[in-house]
Amino acid sequence: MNNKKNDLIAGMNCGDVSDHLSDYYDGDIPEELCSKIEQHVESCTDCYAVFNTFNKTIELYKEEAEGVKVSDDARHRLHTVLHLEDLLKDH
Amino acid sequence: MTDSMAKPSDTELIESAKSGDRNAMAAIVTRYENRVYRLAIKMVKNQPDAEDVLQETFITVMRKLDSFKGDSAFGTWLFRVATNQALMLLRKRGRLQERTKEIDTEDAPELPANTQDWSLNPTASLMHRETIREMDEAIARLPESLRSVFLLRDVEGLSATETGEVLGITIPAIKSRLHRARLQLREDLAGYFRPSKDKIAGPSERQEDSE
Ligand SMILES: [Zn+2]
Repeated sequence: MNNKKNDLIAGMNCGDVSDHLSDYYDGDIPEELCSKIEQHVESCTDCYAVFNTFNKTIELYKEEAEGVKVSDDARHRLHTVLHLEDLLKDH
Repeated sequence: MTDSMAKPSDTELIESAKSGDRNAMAAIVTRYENRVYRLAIKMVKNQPDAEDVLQETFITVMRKLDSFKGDSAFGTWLFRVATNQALMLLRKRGRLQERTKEIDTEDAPELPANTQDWSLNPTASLMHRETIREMDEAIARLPESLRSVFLLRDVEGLSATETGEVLGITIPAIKSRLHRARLQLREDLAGYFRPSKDKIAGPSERQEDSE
C-alpha cells in the first residue's frame, strides 16, 4: 500500500519485480523466483497494478493484431503480380 | 495413423513449389499474406507502403525460392525478407532513426511510473476504436530496434531464437529489447487509460463541483 520502492517483500524490491516481468510472462524463470514474484505482487499494490497492466498490454496487442488483414484490393494485386490469380479466388 | 487431409507443412509446400507446383506456392501465399502485411503495417505505419512491402516480400521469396536451403524455418526466412523490405523502405523515406547501438548498452529501464491498475478498465477494450489508435501510436513511438523485436515476438508469436535469426541479433539482446518495448508500451497505455479526474474525485470535491 504505502511501502517504499526499496522495501523488500519476499526478498525482492519493486525494481526486481519490474526487471523480471517479461521473464515471468514468458515462463522463462525458475519456479522459486516465480513464487517470490507472486508473493511480492500479492502484497504490493503498485506491483500488483504494474503486473496486471503489463500482461494486459501484451494481450491487447496480440488480440488487436488478429483483426489486421490485407484489403481485398491489395490481396488481388498481390496474387496478380505473382501470376497466381487464377488459383486464388478473392472474395 | 496419418491423416491424409492434414495441412501440408511449410517444408512440404516449399519442396512442391520448388518443383514448379503453383498450387503449393498459392498455399504458401494464403498461409502467410496476412501475417506479412500485419508486420509490415506496424513497421511502416501506412497502408500503401505496407502493401508495397507485402508485394516485394513475396516477389523476392518466389525469386529466391531455389536458393532457400531450409537451414532455418521457412517462416523465419520469410519474416527476415519482410523485415528487410520494411527497413529498406523506411530508410528510403528517411524515417529510420538508428539508435540500435545505444539501445543494448543503455542503463536498466526505469521503474514503472504509472501504477494505476487499468487492466479491468472498460475503455481498455478493443471495442473502442480510440484504444486501437492509441495502441498504434504507442508502437510508432518505440525506437525501430525495439519495435521489430516486439512485433516479431509478441504480435507474430515467433520464439526468441527465431526472432534472433530474423534480426541477426543474440537472444539476450532480443530478451532485453523485448522487455524494454513491453515496459514502454505499458507505460504509454497507462498514461492513456489513467482514470479521468472526475471518475476518481472524492465526495467532497464533487460537492464543490455541484455548487
Ligand atoms: Zn512492489
